[in-house]
Amino acid sequence: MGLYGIGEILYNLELRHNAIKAIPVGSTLLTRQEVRDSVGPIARGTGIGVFLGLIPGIGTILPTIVSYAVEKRVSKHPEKFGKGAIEGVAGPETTNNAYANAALIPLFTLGIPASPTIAVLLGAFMMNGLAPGPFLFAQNPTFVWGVIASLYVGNVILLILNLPLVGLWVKLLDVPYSILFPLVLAFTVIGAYVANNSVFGFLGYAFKKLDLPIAPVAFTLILGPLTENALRQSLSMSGGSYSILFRSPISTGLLVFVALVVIVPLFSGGVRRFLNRLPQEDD
Amino acid sequence: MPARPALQVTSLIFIAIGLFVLVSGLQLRLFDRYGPGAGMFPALIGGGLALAGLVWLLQLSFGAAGRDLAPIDTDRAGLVRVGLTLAALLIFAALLPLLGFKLAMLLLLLAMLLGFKWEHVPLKIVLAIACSFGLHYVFEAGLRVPLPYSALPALRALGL
Repeated sequence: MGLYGIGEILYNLELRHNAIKAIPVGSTLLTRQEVRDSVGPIARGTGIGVFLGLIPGIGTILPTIVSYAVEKRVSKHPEKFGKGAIEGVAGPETTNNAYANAALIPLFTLGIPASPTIAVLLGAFMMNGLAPGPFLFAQNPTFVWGVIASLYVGNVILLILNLPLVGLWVKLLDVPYSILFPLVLAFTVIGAYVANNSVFGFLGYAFKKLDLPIAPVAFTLILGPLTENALRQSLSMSGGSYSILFRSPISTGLLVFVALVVIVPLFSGGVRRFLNRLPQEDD
Repeated sequence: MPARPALQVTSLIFIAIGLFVLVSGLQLRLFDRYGPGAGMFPALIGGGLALAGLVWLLQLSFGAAGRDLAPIDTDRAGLVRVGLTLAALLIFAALLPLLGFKLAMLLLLLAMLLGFKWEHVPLKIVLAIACSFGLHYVFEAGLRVPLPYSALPALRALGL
């Protein structure tokens, strides 16, 4: 909460968005043509969102970009994208929703958060004494199915709130930022206080200002204690020998993959320059 | 403000934090009779952070990562607003145990609402009171999240 919420408030406070004005909202009902045009993007968006949601660490932005690119590629009129083409909205929005739900699968089954938002959810689980992973379904089925049921209920409530009241929500933009931000700050401060991490507000602002990604910090804060516990348990079992980390092929494979993820970007620039130079030498 | 020096300073801060954590970890025991000691994980993480910071610093100083960086926008008035808000948050954190949530939040909201723009004063005072006392009620009664009360007996007796 502190990292994302207070950091975002401070960043917007510096920019001071006074020029935002509420735009008039017309009918929220789709025409028959728009429904016909949306069916394909919704189906493709669902597939893309579910598939990418299963891969940890993708983040929420990439799936929507992939969906938008796919829709533009398959569209018969790509020139209309960015100018009101319904496919450019239906696909990415469906992907976003599908991703958000599918991202819970690695969390529930493996205890791996797929995005910073899910990492915050994982933190909430741990604060309440729940350990996400393969045993969660067996040990706390009421909780798991409660969360899954809440997704359905949440979507229905969103539908009820958003369609009839969209005009009202847009009107919130008319509230001067000098009034809006202290109220948002109050809610965020409570969240940060409850989560006991208000000190990260400045860190969130500084990272945003320097254009550095905040997600790794959020992942570290949530996954750090888990990783430490797991490492301590493993090393205790092996009497302090690190060879235990390489005994299983899956573990070895994952460690090699992580090492590549860390090392490859360090040298990718040099390799690219080397490869670019090759054709010139041939010439 | 040019981005490269700012990022170089940031990487130096990462290195300093990493080295501090590494040294702190080494001062604790790396191994005990049960296996890894309390200092093992901090030493690994601190060392990793310092190493990553060093690589980033080298990339910024000598590699492509330091070139073609967009300058960082620095608006003096904006930075003052951020500084004042941070100061208000720090004062709020300091006053929270002393005055309790309701009064500390009321003061924070009044400072934020009226400090930047002295207009709609009665509305903002009503909003600040409703938000501070209302939030306390919602979180304590509705969500059952305990929020702090004042350490001063006189204020505590008033339910603050």
